[in-house]
Amino acid sequence: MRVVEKAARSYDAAIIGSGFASTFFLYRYLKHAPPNARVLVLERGKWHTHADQIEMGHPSEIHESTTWVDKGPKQNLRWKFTIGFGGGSNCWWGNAVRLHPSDFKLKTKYGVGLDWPIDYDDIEPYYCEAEEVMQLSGPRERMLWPRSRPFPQPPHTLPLADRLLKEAYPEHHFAAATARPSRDTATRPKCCSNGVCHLCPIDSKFSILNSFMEPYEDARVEILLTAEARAIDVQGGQARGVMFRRNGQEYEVSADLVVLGANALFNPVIMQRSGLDHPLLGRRLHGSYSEYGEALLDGVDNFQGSSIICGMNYAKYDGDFRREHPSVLLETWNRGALRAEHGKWRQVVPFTLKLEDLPQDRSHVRLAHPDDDLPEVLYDELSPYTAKAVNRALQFAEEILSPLPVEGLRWLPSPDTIGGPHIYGTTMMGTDPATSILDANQIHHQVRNLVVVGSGSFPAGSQSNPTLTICAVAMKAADKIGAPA
Amino acid sequence: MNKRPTKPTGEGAGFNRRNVLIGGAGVAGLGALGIGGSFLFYSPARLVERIVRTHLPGLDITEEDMARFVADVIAADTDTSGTEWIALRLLGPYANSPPFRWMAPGFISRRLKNYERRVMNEFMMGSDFFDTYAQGNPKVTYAGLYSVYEAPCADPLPRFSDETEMVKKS
Repeated sequence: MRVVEKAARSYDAAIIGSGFASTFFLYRYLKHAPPNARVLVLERGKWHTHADQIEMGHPSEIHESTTWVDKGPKQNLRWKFTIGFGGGSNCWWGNAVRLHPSDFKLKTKYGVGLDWPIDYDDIEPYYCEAEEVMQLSGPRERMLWPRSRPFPQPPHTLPLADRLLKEAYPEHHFAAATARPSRDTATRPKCCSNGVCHLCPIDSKFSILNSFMEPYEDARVEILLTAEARAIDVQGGQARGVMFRRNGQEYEVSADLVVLGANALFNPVIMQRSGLDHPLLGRRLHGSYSEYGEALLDGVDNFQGSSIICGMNYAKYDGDFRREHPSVLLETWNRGALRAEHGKWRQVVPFTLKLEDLPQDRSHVRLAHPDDDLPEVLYDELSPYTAKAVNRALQFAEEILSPLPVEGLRWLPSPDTIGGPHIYGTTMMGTDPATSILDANQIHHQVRNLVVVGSGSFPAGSQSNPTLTICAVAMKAADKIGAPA
Repeated sequence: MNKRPTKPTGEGAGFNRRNVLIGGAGVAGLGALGIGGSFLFYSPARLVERIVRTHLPGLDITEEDMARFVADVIAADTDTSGTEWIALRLLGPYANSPPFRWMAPGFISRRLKNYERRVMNEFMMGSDFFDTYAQGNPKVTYAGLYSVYEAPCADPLPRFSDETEMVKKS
């Protein structure tokens, strides 16, 4: 591995960021690149080992909340990401689900939101590859969408409440697809349901640091840490290189290909600084709606599962109802507070109810002035489509959990209901350059040697966790870039 | 399975004093009530012990273990405010009195229930509760507050299917 202190003058490719999107792009890019290719990876943060992260109590010494400004009146956004080598793979929880085929065609099928310029089938092989790399654990039975390969690992043990839900919903309730392994892998111990996956005590969940250093061990790759990309040098419709800041000094490196994989907040502002104006750049920022709750059970002892987020219920995920209200995903948890009632200690199901949100032009991330350091974010309300469904969230939860002997159901304090943990839409893919920033391969419509990877390219974010799709779409982009003309 | 370490005991009295001072305006009233003696309100230590013993009738635990648990819980509590403590201590003696619960403002009774649940969670997870009391054996041993970073994989509840497979094979 070549962690360098100084970049060379020029490279075949400069990749900004080292999180999921950048790393999976790099992985596939290297399969096409010639033996003498030179690739520079610019990472804004430091390299913190797992032990360092545990010691610090956080994956990075830079707290993500200090890197942007919430301009909403409520200032209630709680987005979590990691400024550091490996990016969000350090702080994610390991939920790695595929999107439903309908998620890609919301407008066509249900007349709401936007269609993606790609289909589920376009990325199905890449989903399989990402699942293999991460050694995902998942259900053995057929799910709602086609799969060409089984999950690499068997599913986690389901707790009793989930087994009852599985009986009631044989085709709509599944063990979670997850990068928290159900068996030891070559590099990681199996998950033992510690319930603090953002900083896993035993380094069990997949991270780039613990399981996917292969792209960085390639002799063609150099890594420059603490290098904050500021702008892309664009001249004559071509990306010429990257301008970055390191230790208070400004630098520039030239590259034939630039891959922007910071994240959905930083990608658009780097493009804004680069003069890549577009009416929708940084707009249509959206996430999902998440509500945390618990169902008190009568007579069912729970929590025998083997991983923290154990079940996924799709009973209200897809159907014609999406014309009227958002798709609903209910995740069950294998851990939460025990009850204080005698004999009912374990008779509870903690859960998360998630609603998809739709992009709105009003919500945005931008720099107030091009020289500013901190992006300003405005995302303070859900789309009307989602907002009107929030009042029905309790009803949705009651209906989904009705096969269980529920004696009470209540919401728990939720710090991140609006926005959820995921960020979408700010550098949207599409077929029409007038209404999108990127094409179907995440290549900039006008600057054809600029690729912008990550969930900012999602035209319509689902309430399903985006990581697997981020990886799949990034690999597809690398294959497109690398394929012979 | 990792052995759960024993945590150092906390200094309950200091915590009590600090939080009562934080209580501000409530202090004067509390002092007046305090003149009447401890039957009017609980010390934090007595409140915590009372919660455990009320929820676990017949509990058999050594005095030392209970004292250690109480001290640990109080020392680890960094987010119960001074005024909340005053309310909890005042309500504590009457917590199981239905008329009092009905009369108490909703937010106070919710806070008390939440605190009881928190204490009980600490007790259940910090002891061999699920192997003993939950199985009908009242003798419980306290090991130390449960911490996934000090003793990961020590949650007694999860079950692992590969272990089941291994048992079947052997």
